[in-house]
Amino acid sequence: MTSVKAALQCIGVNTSGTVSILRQLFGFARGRVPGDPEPAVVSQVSIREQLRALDGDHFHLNVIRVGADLFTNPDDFDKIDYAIYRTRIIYRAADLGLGRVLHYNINEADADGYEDIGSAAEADEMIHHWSVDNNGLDAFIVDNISAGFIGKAGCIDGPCDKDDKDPPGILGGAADASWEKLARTFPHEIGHYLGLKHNHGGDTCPTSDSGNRRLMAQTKCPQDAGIPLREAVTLTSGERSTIRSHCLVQDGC
Amino acid sequence: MRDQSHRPSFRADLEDGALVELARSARVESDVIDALRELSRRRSPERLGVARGILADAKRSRRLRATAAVELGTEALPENQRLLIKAMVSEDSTVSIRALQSLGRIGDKGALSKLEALEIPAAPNARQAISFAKSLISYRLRLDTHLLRPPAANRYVAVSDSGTFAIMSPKRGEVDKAIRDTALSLPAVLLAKTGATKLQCGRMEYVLAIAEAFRTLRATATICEKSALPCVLLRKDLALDRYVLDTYVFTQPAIGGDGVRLLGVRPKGDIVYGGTGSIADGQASFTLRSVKTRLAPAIDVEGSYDLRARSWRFGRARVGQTVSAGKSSAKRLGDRHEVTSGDS
Repeated sequence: MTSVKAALQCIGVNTSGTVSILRQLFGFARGRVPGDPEPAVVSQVSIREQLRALDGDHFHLNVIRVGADLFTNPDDFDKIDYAIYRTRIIYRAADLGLGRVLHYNINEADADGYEDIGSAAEADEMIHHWSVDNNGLDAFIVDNISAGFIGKAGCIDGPCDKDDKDPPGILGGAADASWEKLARTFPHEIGHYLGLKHNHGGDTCPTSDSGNRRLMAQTKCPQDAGIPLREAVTLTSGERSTIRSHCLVQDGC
Repeated sequence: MRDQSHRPSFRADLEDGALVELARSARVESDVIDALRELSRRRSPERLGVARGILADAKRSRRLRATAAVELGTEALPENQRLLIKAMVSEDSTVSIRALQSLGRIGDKGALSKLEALEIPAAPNARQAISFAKSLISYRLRLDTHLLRPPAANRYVAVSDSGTFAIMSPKRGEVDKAIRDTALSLPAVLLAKTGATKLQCGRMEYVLAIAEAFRTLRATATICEKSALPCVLLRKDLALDRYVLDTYVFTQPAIGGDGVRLLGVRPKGDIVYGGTGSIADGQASFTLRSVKTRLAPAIDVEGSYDLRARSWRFGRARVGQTVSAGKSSAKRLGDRHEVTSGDS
């Protein structure tokens, strides 16, 4: 296993100045481990596990908050860190690490109206509108989605060229979503981008309990089946294999 | 221990009546939004009443009122229009923009005259929302006013790094699904189940559908006389597992009377394609190219639609692999936007 410093350098973090383990290694914008919405559950992170994850295949994220100055509820920021926390746990179970997480804020004045997303077309336009010039997946969180969906990937098996004609990123959710919904939508959309389709037809849900517990079931499916969203996050071995072969996935440090 | 104020009261197994009550009385914003979304997903008849109540209540949050304004733009009902007209002058720009966009989708001549009486705001987004709402109503109702200006010749881009897109007949049920899925985005445009074609472009699948009002040869011939909305391009969004509205195809008589001008316009009003068309011997012939934009790839298309057989033929169907604006044309996020401390 590599050292923390070597791991940070490997994922592209500048280690010449002061480094925050919780920000730079774990990607929490607030520099602390986000609380769990279930009062009985204590959130925890392990440096050893994260270093092990970076030893294997991993991918990087750019979390872009659109209309960030409108995120006036203190929960809005903790919620996003919690989504990152859950994303790491979900993908670690699939032997795919979450590496560097960078955070970007676009305030309302610069958001060109994309702080509120009113249609799928607008979501795709926003994804095309901005990008971060690095090898991370651009994952947008907006102030509100006023259309009838809670997040969406630009496409399935998305491109690694950020000027591709297909939208090169995801809308990972909205600040107005509930904690658990955002924390599942965010990794669900990442799953799409890394090549996964829903495990059911668009107008139906899986008939089995295990099908409704999969990450790639649409949110309505576990909800309608009475399964807590935090428990509907499994990935099959075929899905694990698919995501690890995506062009965004980096080799181990 | 965290406080439990963010623990949701919303549950998807609630019946419509309970969701209505939750939307009206819940203290937590996400509960209200979830309740409204669930009613909308079920296409419950209760959803519009809830949305009207939210939009009319100026004390409700911007997020809720914007969501309600979008919901009211999914059905062309006089009561929805009345509330949207009130909301289009809301002090909150997000609410007013959503109301304007919804009015464009469902508004009638009365809504158009209200829009015409509005002062043109300075903010580009609001300006575009008003301007495009007027155009969309006008093209839908064939009023020949508020026509969009076709792109100048120097705005078109050539196709480089091109591939071709495949043209195919839709499978059984695909057009029905596309029409059903996009009905809420096109509440005042009835699409025909016949005459559609399917296009495949890399990862993306599209259905090019014709409006019911232009199904016959005689009706289609009128596009040389009056502006119209004869076609829409619907995209199969695999992440949402449904078709979504991608592009309106507007037409207007060419100046000088020589055929028609075609305009491909995104749902918010950005022109992405332009071209020409003509009708002769039962064939509607057309060309289409992209302007410089990040909202679409470069395309170069030439084809025709047989108005009797209701079939398409494409002589040229080239598409670029990147956005037509070219490499590095996105707004790059850099140090200025990066959050490096806990003061997020």
